[in-house]
Amino acid sequence: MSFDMSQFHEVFFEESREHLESMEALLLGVDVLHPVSEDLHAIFRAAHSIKGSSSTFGFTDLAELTHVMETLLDLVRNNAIALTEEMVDACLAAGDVLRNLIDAHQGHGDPDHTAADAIRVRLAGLADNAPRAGGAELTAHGDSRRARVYQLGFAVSAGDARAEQGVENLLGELRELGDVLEARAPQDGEREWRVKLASDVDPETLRSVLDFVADSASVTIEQLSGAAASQVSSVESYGFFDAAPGAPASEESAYGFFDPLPDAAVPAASEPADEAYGFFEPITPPAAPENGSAADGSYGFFEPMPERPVSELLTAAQTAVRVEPEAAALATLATSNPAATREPAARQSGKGDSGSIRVNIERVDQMINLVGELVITQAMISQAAGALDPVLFERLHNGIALLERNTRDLQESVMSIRMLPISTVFNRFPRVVRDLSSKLGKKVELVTSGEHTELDKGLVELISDPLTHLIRNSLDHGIESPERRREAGKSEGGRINLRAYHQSGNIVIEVADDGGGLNRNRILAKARERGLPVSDNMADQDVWQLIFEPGFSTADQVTDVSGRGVGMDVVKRNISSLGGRIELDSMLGVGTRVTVRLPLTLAILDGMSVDIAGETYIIPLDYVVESLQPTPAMLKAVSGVERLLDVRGEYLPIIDLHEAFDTPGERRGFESGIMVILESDGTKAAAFVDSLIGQHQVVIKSLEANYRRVAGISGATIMGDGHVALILDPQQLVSMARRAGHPAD
Amino acid sequence: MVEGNMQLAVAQEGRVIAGEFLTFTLGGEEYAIDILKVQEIRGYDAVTRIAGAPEFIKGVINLRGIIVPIVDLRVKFKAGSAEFTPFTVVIILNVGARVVGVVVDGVSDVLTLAPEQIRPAPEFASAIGTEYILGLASIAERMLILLDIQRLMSANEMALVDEAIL
Repeated sequence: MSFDMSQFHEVFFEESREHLESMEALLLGVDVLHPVSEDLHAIFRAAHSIKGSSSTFGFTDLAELTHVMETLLDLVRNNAIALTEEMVDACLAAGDVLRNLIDAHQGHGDPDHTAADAIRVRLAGLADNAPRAGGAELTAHGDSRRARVYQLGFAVSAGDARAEQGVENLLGELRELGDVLEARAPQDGEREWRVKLASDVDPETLRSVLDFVADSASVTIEQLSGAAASQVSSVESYGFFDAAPGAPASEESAYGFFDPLPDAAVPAASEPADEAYGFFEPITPPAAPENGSAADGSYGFFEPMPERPVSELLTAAQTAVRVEPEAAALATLATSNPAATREPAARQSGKGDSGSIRVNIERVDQMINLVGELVITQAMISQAAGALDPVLFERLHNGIALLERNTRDLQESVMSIRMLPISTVFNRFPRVVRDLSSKLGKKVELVTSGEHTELDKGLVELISDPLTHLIRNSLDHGIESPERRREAGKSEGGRINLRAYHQSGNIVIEVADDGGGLNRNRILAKARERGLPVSDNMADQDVWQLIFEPGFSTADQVTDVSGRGVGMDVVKRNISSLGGRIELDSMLGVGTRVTVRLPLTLAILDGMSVDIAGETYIIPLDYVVESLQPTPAMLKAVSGVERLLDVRGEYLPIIDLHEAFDTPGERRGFESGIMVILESDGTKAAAFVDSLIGQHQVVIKSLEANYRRVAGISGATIMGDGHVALILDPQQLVSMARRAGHPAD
Repeated sequence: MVEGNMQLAVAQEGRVIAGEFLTFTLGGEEYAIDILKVQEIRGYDAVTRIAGAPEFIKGVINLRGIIVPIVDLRVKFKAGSAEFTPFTVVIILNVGARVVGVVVDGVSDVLTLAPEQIRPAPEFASAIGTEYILGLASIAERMLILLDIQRLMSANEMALVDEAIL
């Protein structure tokens, strides 16, 4: 451990944050009265991992706090004490403190040591004072998992305070794995630690544990007794990589995952209730007691777990599934065992530690850029080859078609690297809602759906603040107090629905509450007060848009949650800077729904290229309903100007793009061109262009990076010939058509 | 009073503005800009017009994958005729975090100017506000107008930047 550890710090911080996150999610999800032991174990493991690595890296403040936390959690997970709401609160608060400390270590902000000390005392108090529950079970922690006895030897760099701490941790780790029968500190003149360990883990696992702290070269592992040497108890458990001793054949044979266990099995299991194979998670291998009435054969694969004594196991036999839910739930991959596969597999999902690598996001972005360039180049080649005789150059054309398909596939798979499920954002909201609702004295339930909807990583990061704001708004202004709700005849508890789904190339996120809804009159009154141009007969939609005005707030009182009027305008600005839109529906007394629409990715778009007075523009295909050549009969004039297009009885406003983009040259009659029918948010309009050129997949380039926002234009792209083409913003164009305006207005 | 302020300004800025300059011509006038702001010089290519942009913004071009707006300084400064000849060049500038191209009649050379060669510009009315002129330098018979190109390009009147950003 003499080399520089700081190079690993970033990884440590990142991992610790992930652990904290998963811990928080679990804490929020846990049912205090009936905690699922698998969750408790997972929470404990998260705390334990942070503790382990932080002391390795010398972050003692983190290690100290997590140690106290771990102590408490260990008692809870072993059913020594019952979980209480207060513990959950304390652990959540501790999570916050840990985050603060991690931030401080990373150089952001100052560590709040007072808070750390306070929470430590609080956690320790909880651990000491909590009522002991199920004392009998506590004794279960113990004896029977020593299939083998090892003599371990290892050395650490002498005289290093951190190394000593490391050894202490290591011993703790070993106690996790089995029973430390003897631990001898280095004698005079030698550097070696000697530890006698009874455990049923395989030597490889031990080695990896030891290597972490000790000098690799010095590690010796000697197995004193084999699997059969279990004289300690009447219960046998089987090491995974080792052949188990022949056991009495039972009706149901179980097979180990990598290695078949010869004659395998649950010894004398005359009434096998359930068999489960734990794969990644530690599980309890209670195996079969001698009396043969049992039951639950589980094989610990990577980490053994404490077993229960025979007395308890008898009970376990009757209620195997309930007692060992973790074992049952994990029994998913053992296909050779029908008893195992019929157990629900759902809980396994999302926990699979499938092969993944951490890659710097810059590298991914660079790859995406390169692929973007490739797409442009490919389009350029296609365009150039288009002029060649398709018969003479058949092979070239075939090759180009293939190239096009491959490029598209490549692009799609590269883009998918950046895709993350929106649950990464949604996961933080249960906490926000929990904290805020208790602060505001409201009862609020958060219901999320569509967490698996994927969107670009860049969007995930940027959307989280606006969404948090919307949720806080719903909580503070939307949901009424329980009394008010009762008066209004609603249930006391409010409900916020958070929903995400895909819709025609967009990702839609809805935040809906069943609260009081927006008060139209109050908004109008407030708007008048602020001198905004409003009238009583404005459409609801337009009235709701007022709350996006800077500094607009109708809150009766300013709370520290919201109501200062700073917010909705920022939310709107953030979302439109992501190329998204925000819509609002509300009904007084019923609730409010905010809908955020975002482009799926920031980079690619399917577009139709059109010609407007010799200039090429791209219309995003998602907005195009149809294109048609208008006949004079379809054009309807209003006050002498042809402004409406009659499409099968539907009158659509015409947007003359020549006018909108102020193109040079003479205006042409509408009959000589093409009408592209656009639809945005349920509103249709007909855009007049000279001709259609084709369909392309285009790479969106920012116009604003070096220039500024242009009315009616959402961005730019580079065409096959290297020229820049502007991408139309149909949504803006349609709303301009509604106001019968000019984009420059 | 005004005079005194100007001198003070130049005295303060003198240290900053001395250095290497790229000189270019607009009609008969010679201008100089800080060479560190120049990314590259390229020929004038077809641009994509942008609706609603002021006359001096010719449009945008594709510069190796990024979209760069092109400003015709000749139109902006009302200097020279805005004709495109084989000598017409575009100077690609890096101002702040942005990339902007400016059309000029031609690039002359790169000069090193010492602080003492730079005189403050007097107050006078012109198409360019004097706040964008760092000073005047004379080399033999020639007068160079030293432009504060960064300030000019991020100015509101150039309409290159969203007002909200400023």
